[in-house]
Amino acid sequence: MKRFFTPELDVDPDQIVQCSNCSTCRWTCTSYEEFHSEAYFAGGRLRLLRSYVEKNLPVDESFVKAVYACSTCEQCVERCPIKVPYVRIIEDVRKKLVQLGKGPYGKLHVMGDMALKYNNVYGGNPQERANWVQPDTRISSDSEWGYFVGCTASYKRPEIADATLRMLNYFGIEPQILGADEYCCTSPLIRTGQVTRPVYDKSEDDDDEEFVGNLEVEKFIVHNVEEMKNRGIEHVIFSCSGCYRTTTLDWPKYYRERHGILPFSTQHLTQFLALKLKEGELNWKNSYPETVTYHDPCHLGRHVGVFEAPRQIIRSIPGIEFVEMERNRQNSVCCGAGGGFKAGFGENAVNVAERRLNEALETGATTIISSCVFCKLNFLDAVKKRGVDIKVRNIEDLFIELMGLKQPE
Amino acid sequence: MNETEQITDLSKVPWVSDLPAERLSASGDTTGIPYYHFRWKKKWLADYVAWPTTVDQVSSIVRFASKESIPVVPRGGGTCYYGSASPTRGGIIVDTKVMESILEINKDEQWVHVEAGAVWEVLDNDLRKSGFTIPVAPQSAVASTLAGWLAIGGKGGLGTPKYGSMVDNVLEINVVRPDGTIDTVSGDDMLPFFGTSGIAGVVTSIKLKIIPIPESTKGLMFAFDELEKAIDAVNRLAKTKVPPIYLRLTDLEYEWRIQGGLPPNTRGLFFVLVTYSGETEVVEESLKTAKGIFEIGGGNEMQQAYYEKNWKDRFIVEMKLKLEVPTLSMQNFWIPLNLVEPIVKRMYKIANNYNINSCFYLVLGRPNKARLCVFAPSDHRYWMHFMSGKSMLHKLVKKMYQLGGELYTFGLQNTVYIKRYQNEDYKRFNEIRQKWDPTGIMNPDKLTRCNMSYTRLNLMFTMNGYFRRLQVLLRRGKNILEIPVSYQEAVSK
Repeated sequence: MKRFFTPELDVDPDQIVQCSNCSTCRWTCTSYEEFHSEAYFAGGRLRLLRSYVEKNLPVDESFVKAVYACSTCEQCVERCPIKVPYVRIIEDVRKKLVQLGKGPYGKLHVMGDMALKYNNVYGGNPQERANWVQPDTRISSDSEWGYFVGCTASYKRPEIADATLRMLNYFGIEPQILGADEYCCTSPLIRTGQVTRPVYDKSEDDDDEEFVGNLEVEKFIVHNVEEMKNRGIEHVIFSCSGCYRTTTLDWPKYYRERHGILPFSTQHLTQFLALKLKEGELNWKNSYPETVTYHDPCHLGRHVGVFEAPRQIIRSIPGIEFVEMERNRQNSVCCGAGGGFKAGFGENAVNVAERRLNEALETGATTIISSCVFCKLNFLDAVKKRGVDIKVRNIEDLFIELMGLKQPE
Repeated sequence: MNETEQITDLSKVPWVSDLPAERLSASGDTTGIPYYHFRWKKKWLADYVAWPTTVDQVSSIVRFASKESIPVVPRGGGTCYYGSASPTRGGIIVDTKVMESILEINKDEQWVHVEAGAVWEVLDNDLRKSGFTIPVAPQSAVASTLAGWLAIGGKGGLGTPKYGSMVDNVLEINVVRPDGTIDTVSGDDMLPFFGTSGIAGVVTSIKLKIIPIPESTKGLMFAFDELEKAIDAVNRLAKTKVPPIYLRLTDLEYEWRIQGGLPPNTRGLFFVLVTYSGETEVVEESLKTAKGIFEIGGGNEMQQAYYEKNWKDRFIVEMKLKLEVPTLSMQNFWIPLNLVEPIVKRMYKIANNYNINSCFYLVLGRPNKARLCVFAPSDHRYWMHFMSGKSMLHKLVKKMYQLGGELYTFGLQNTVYIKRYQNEDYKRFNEIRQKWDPTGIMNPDKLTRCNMSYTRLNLMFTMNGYFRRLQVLLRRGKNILEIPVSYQEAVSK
């Protein structure tokens, strides 16, 4: 098949001709709802992409911004009559923009820079990655269970990591954690197209840039897999939906070709808890007499297909009144934190979260429960900055609270 | 800037953008073959995109455009196949989708006053929370806006057999005239806005009839071996005392492609889906009547689950054709039911001669008229195949006019046909233009002026048809798409 070719974008035509621009994906799109522009929803972006490719237009900042103002939540794919793999296409385009040196958008490159220098996207000291571990919790160095903590829980929301570990300890599991040897799962890097790119350090005195090294997500993935393999880990638990999605769907792609199949199974903590519930091992000690609703994280829900496990757990909590939001499961609205959207468009991401929290309030819920580190982070930002009156909890938070495992303040 | 303040410089208006990405994305529409259509347009790219949020803002930008003689292209969902909302001379695209709020719901008088940029599906979702629903909706309700369907005529869709066209369901509209005047119109004064692609002004809000959510909505689906019998059944059903809310006739290729196959043991080449809504007893009675009509016509009832699947997909079926087909060329006819059979048979015959694909679906309107949508599924990267499809559609348009029908949507591309065949309408559109928009800034070239000469178009497609025929005779005209079942020959006989 003849390929469209322009000096700048070289895009597989089979990908872009699939979309008929019917705009079915428009009104449910997270970024369209925020920006209200034809360039800011899946079909519009593909139309834009096609125009740039077919008309040989030079890539400009407005194009880069439009491509990056997407939270890759996959609501568009869900709505699409023919399921155009939009998120895959947009990630490919982002990858190309990074190769061209025109991406990532804004300050998103900082995540890549930090990942190369510190093995985490926040620039935290790698040696302090496991500082969240409390003395009264238990980890081991020979368990077949591993807990992949992720950058956000390690550095930004340590209470999530702590709660997850306490939950595992409660069920008699003393997991291994990789600590300083745990590298970023590469979710933010893959989502923003920073799969491979050179990293430069700008000196403070002059404009000279010093080459630091090549950022390659494959190296991160291989490192993490090999670490777990060497430690004999067979089952890995995740509290972060982004890490879980990347490990389950992306790692095999990067690892398998050259290194073989992943030597461990992956499980999100909601799946783990649902299994314990099914086996009769989860007996709640306290009740939660409130009206709650559940927000499906995109990475856990639409991307991987875990919708029912969290609901089973929530429904089993004594005293709880569970209500669904109008848009739930496959049709759930994104919280606005994914796909580099929060890092690139901070205030817009908070607006998106605020709208979602208001939807939760409309149901009469006093608590919104999620099972993703990023969703919680963004929701808490919306609560703090916009004063939305709702409690934000993750399932692991509720677990330790109701089981009396919470560490005293 | 203050919204009531006069615009003097577009670059200082916060809700206007000239960024390339904005202009490019707002200048396109559903068409999947831009470079072909760009030839019809002089300046296909807008200079600015505006997102007004109030009537005053719409008025101010139209006033500015009028003063500076800048073209204005009102834009709704951009779901029209025929370039209704694409610029031909640059200018300003006025994207009305930000104006989407419900202004008032009157439950006693059963109407809703809603801003014109509201998406049909969203409006319906919101109304349902109050116990109401919309009586009519376009086939593209998941994306198109209220004013968008109004601008293309709004004749054949969901609810139209029972509740009539959109014009029968609109009580009043608020508009901004091409000179920037804000006006409220009702009754016959609304007619210049229906089916005229915004040449009479920008519709900013609509007072639309609403109905209580029906007690029951049920339907069924039958398959027929012969087109005559299927159309006869549709004809009979259209004349029953209680009309359905939705009636769709499709052929095998269409059905096959949209659902990716048919249920096992399906017998038939043509499929009729009918849905009734209303009081439970009436619906049950109507279903019995429909079943009787279908059975007398020799139809075979299809699985209820298959009907449910089709009913669920009612708003996206057109696009589901793209599951296997990269490029959808299509034409929409608004024709009496008795013209369906000769046109469809003609379509099969041409498709067979050209060795290309063809399929159709029909949606019932009122009275006894239907929107017949004929497709030439193709891949525009295979130029000859694609152009042969276009050629087939051109021939069908000529045949349709010969028999006495008219086109359903005009937009940009079909203006060439209106000028040639619908003289009365062409004259009416020009009168509207002259009366309300003498400087011609509102959606230029649509309906009143044609960039393409009919003679050139006719010659191009006729030559293409002959060449394709020759290709086929020399066994060089390969069909690039698999036909699910080789039935066209049988049907065309």
